[in-house]
Amino acid sequence: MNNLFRGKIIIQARQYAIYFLTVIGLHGLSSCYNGSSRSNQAELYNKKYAGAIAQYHDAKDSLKLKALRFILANLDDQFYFRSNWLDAYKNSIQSINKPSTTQLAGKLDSIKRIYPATINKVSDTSVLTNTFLIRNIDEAFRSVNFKWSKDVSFTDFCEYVLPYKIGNEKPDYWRQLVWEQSYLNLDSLARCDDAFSATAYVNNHLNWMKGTLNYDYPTDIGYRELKSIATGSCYSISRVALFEMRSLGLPVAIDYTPSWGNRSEGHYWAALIQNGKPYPLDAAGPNIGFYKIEYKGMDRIPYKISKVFRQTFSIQKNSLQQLRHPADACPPVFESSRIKDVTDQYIPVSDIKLRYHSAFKERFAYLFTFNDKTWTPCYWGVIDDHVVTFKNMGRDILYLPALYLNSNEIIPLGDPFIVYKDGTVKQLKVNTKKRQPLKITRKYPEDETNKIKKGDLYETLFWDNGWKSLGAKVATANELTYNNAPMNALFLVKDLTEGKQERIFTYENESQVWW
Amino acid sequence: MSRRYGGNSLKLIAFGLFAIILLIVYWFYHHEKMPDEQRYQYDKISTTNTESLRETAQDFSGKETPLPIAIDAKTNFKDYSKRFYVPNDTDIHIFAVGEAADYRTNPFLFRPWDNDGVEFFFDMQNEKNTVFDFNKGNRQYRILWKSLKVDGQNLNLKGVKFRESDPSNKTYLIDLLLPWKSLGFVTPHPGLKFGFDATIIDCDNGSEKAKIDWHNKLDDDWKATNHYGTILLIRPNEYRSDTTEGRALQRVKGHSFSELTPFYQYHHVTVGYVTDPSDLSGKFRAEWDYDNLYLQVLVTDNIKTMANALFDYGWIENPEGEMIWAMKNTGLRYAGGAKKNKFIDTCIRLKKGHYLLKYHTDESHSPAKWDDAPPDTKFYGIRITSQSKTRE
Repeated sequence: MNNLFRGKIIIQARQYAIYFLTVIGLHGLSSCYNGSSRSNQAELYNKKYAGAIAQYHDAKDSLKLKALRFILANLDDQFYFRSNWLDAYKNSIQSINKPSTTQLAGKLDSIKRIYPATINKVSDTSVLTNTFLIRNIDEAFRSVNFKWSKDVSFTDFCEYVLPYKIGNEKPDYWRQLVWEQSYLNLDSLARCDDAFSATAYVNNHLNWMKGTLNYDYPTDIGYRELKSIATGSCYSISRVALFEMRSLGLPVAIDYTPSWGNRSEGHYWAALIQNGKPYPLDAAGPNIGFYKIEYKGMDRIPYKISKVFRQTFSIQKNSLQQLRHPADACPPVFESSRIKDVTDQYIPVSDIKLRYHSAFKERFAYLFTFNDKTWTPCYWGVIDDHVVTFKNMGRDILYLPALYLNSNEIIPLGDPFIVYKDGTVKQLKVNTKKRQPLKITRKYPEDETNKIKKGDLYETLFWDNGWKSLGAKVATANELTYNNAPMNALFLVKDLTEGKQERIFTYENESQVWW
Repeated sequence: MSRRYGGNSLKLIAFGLFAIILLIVYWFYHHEKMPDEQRYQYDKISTTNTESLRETAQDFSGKETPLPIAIDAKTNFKDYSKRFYVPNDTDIHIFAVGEAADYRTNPFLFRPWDNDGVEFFFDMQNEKNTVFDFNKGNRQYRILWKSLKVDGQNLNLKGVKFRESDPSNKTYLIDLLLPWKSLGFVTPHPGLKFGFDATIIDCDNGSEKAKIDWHNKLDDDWKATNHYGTILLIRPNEYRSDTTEGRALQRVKGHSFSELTPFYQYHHVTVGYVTDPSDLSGKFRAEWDYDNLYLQVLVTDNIKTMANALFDYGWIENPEGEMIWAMKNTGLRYAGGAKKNKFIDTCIRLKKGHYLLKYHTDESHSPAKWDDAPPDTKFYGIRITSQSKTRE
């Protein structure tokens, strides 16, 4: 028996009773920071979508009614962006056959010069109709008639198959579009015995999507536009994968690390959810079983993870966005209620507890990692009487604890510290009174170009509540030497002549150790 | 009135002094806390490990045991270690199962030969300059294996031909034909000398792992032709082996390379590291006739048969941390299930002494959470037994 249809509830109340129960249900689900306004919204949604509720009630389809309730309960702050320049851009690029990233960026530049830069956030409810919701739910239920659907629980179905959208794109009938793909016809899919093989089958056919590091559409766009543009970053490709996989009833999510623990940038990937566990794959790249998140090649330094988040459709009550006051400063990366921390489903983690004293009355503190140029927030913790706990943090990573006052200002709460593989912690309390000789052979650990180059001008810095210079000097050999470097310090070398990549390191046993 | 006024003055002065003292105390306090900037310092930091992904079943108390010994690698992200000893010199049997991948099982991994290739550098006037001079006919030819093309700097490719072949699964051979006209000479002759160097590039993972060179000692030496060696054109009967210069023997028309034509080894590692000749080594030879110069390079590179990567693997260390034996990319066999499941079943001799048996698992694919079909072997990890035990 399909898990999805277990525990079917027959509701025999009249329509007004349904409204009442739905309001109560939504009210219970909306216990968040702004709970009362949420319940008001819930009432509005129930009125607005009374037609859909009535249809499933009258049809005595309790499961679809439950699915509708799930959507309505999580409709708050679902939005897309609308602007004249976005429309003009979309129209212009859809007329180009397989546009290059240069063409796309060029079009965007030229259109932005013509149109006003205004962009409006539009609530989904302004375009969502009863008909749309019913069609989406009906199509989602149609998509779970495959062999692999028997393994999908109703909870996973609601979160990872049912949603009418994946990010902040304008609502659209994308499932029908996906089903029209020739490689997704029933005969082709008949060879797939389970969710793993079906996921691999779809992913193997995503090669029409060209991955690029340097281009993404300015906002989230729907499947229709993605098919037309056929290019984008790992985020856009993962979105395409989700559109196609979810249309086949595969419970798939986008998981991501906003910033690597030991280098710049971050990464998005797709993950098949089976029995509560994520099975990651790189969209249009290695399938489940072949994909390694940290491994990037033999003899290359693994990418370390401090945090893994999941994009959800449901509102996460424990997200920073839900817990904070509007006045609390918040790094943009956490400005969504639909972020779920799934780090402990991927890597061994530790909870980190700090006790500190500061005059600031902030309610949240942050851990930062270094992204090759600056400190980047990777997670937050609630401050409770000068004690802050950062939950489920990745190990073998160096962190800086700090307050975030606004988008440009961070106030360190003390020394950076390293959480080692076994969970032990070491505080890097710089000792400027005790000095040591320092021999530097590299400014970054990646390849030959990161070696110290004779003739280039370098500046070496150490962290002491901020970066302090040890002095700039021209390398007279393929190494830099300083005789007065502080002990127990965190260092950074900048090549002032050329190059971009920089990486923090400690100095242990006369060697650079990279973090 | 005046007395009252005088009394108020004293009170005012006392209050003023008190206020000044307060200000001084305040200044001292803040001077200590914040001399030139805002500075905070947490006074306590602690961590608690979450157990969900951690090993629970293994005993790693550090207790030393005799053989047999096994590490049952049950979970991801784990560095296992067990101490053991062998009371006498012993032949031991090692059985290890792990995860490895190569370009055949994972098309997204680099093919082992990507960007491998050879380079030739010419200083046709044999001027041995301090620069690589385009105007003086200095030339670079580069052939990346399996790329089916020749490129380089200051090239004339008219009439240039090349061929590549695989004499064995650990070697590759490249033949290059260069018309003298393309090199700038019309009438070569016995006794002609030109500056020459030859390089082999090894990119085991798509990026440069090592370079070896015939004459240059540093990677950048090709930019100055005074680092190049010299090739002398001779007739076959003029060849003597007691020379450091290279010799190109005149080719008998219609023949290919003669057995008499000497090979020259690539002696210098100019980039990276080379563990042994099977890791990377090479030799070249040259022949000529009045139309062309012929070059041939034989490269030995065991990467051709290697897995790109080992993800879960075991090894044996001595107490000094030296690796005595390890699962390597070569010699692995298919263990059933997913193609990346590999095993090794081998015997080695261990001297009497104390050892560490180790096993590493990476982020995915272990009995705790297979991300593809598990191996047919019920065991996943490494186990060693003494040979006598095995035979029993």
